[in-house]
Amino acid sequence: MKIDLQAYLDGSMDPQERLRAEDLLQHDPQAKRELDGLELFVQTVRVQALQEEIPFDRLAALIPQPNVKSEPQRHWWPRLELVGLAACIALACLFVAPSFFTQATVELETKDPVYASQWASDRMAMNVPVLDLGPDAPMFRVHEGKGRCCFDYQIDGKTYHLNVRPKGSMEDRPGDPIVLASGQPATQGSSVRWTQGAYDLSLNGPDAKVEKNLADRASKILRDA
Amino acid sequence: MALSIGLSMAGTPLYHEGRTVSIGTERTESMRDFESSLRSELPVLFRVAKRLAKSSDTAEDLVGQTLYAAVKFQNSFDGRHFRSWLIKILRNEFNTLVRREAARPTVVLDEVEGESESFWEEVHWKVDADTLMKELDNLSEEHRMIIQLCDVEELSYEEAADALDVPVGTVRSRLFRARAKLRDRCSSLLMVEESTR
Repeated sequence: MKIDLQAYLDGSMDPQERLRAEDLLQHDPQAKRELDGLELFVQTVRVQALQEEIPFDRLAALIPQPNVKSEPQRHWWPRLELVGLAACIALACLFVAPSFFTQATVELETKDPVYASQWASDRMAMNVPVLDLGPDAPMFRVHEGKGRCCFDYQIDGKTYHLNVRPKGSMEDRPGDPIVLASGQPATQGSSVRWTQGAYDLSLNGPDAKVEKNLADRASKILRDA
Repeated sequence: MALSIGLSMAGTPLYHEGRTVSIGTERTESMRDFESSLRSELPVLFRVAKRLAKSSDTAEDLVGQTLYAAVKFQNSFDGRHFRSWLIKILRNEFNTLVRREAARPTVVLDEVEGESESFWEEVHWKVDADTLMKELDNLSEEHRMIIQLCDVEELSYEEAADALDVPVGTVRSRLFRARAKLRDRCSSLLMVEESTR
């Protein structure tokens, strides 16, 4: 059986295919050398291309300031009537679903996971654990709203979000069954999702492999707490 | 209708599950979020722009135009892949520039020979960095872009497909051909070097 090396390297295989490929790679030295060659090639291209010097300050100065108006959404009706209608319906909703309007997002910029945990615990009225995922995945922000708190981590310039909710409050989403490093069952689709202890958790970001890795770490922290 | 208008006036956080409702004064928070998200994408945008335009000055211009368009049309972002959305804008700006400056060169997708048994096994990366980057720039625009997005910026197939407006299957096959072509170019340089010693 021939392995799709590119799919394996790019992480686009489903978990079962990946397990079969890993098994094959263990017993086929030539396939392993092929994979190593491809991986070396891709890494070399990536490392060299990332050496590019970025004129960050000049580019940041190009971000338009607030007097550039964003294109408004097109409305069929004149603006004043719209605002009036919105106010009436908003008032009506206030009586029907008052909690809808009180769940604004509040955020805290912090690099301290302990402080973030205390802040989130105060706001959520539940004990939110300290989720320090390691020095290579520094936290930089926590925010809270709509019954969950979200910790943001930065890895290689990309942001990963770890959402923590009370157990039983996370909606179901499709995903492939996986097992985290702590032994906890989970699913991985658009995010890694699992329940552990008193919490429903989900972790999402731009890279599926990194998602799983961070979820492994978070799950171990909860297990050992 | 009014509720959805209320939502459209509010900020839409990016890369978050679901949407957060915020009304009235929280609009400032969303503007800060958006600017912060733009800032974090600047290195990617610049690298991609430079890969397209092959010039730092033009790349800076393209990034500037992209940022302007992104702020102006931020309401058109569907909340899915922010980086892909920005790259799509960047590509549009590049295409506008190319149309304005010259006739667009015909894109030829390079032919790749069949894969040998040990296609990737024979890689010996003695090629220096400048040569590798030069050969990358010598690839067709499609091949340059796919390697830049998938291998350098590590976009997923889905994100790259979104940025390039092509199906995921096309991303995969194009990436395979691009990598093979770059490898072939570098390998043949090595063979020429070795034969002239």
